[in-house]
Amino acid sequence: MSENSLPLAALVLAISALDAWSVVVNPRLSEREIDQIRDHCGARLLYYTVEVSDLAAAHARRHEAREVEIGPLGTLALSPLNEATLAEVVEEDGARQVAALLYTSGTTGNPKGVMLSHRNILFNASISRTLRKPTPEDIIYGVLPMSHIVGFSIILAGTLIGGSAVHIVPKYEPAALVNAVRDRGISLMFGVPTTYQRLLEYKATAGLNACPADACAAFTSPVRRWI
Amino acid sequence: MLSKLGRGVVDDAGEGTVGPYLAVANQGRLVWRAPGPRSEDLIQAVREPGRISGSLDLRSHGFLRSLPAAPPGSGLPTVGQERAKQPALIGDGKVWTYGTLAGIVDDAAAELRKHGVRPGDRVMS
Repeated sequence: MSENSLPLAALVLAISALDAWSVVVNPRLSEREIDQIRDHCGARLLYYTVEVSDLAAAHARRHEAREVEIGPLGTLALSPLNEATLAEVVEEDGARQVAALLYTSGTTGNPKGVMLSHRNILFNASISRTLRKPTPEDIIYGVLPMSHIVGFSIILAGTLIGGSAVHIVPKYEPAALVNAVRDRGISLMFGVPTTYQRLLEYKATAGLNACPADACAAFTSPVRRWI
Repeated sequence: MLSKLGRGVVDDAGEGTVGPYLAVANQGRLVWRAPGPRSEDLIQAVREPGRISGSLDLRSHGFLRSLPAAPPGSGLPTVGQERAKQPALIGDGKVWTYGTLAGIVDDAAAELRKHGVRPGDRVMS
């Protein structure tokens, strides 16, 4: 499990290439929620991005995972193999094959898994691309978690099928966003209302004179317009 | 099985509803059951701007025309060949181009297979 990171993105794509199901889990979930998801989906293996997430490392220790090296992905932790679990039947039509099993958080009950086919994911990604028209020159600020459908399908898959780049960020900090827009050419971002609210709070406290309030009105903001 | 996508719902008959987000079945068939906010782009693409309830074949209207036929992982080499030197993923002080990423994914998939991952397995990451 992992917060947003390059190794997580590579793992998602590698799992997809094997026709396995990607179950991306945010390590900020409680121990109870994570263990419920693990048991409910019958995970064969769990990968923990221990180098980029202290929370993931804590869960790895709790699950008695061992460390492994996977080339450019660096050191990951790997759970014991679940020998008892059965593999799901692989669809003949790749579009119908499940790409991801994403779970609700479980704050109001048990986490619920949603089976998303490759076509589901690519449809979301393609619609986002159609609406927002990113170009290969765009760099998208990828701060929404890949454990959520937006981070998974629109930001990761949508960016890659469109030929743009994702600047992957594990945790939202308004100051870091402003710096990234100024120094790293971020041209498009996705956020929830809190993202923009905190940005405006930062603007007020940091004395910035850019970043107009109308950015708050949009779920997706072309940041060139306001920084 | 019921799958939820945004506020849309796809049922096991391959139909779905459209809310602020879209829902689509695997067969590429979208069914509107209720009016809701829709993108002007989509309305124009469908060419049925006055219609608030009905069904349409997405393929015939070009919604899915631009979708790659293969899953995201196997689609990468195609993108990589065209844009091998373009950045794909940036973070942790690194830049992975499309060309680099394609190779990293292939290598990682081989490692996962060695660890015991089989097609159809659920893998938490």
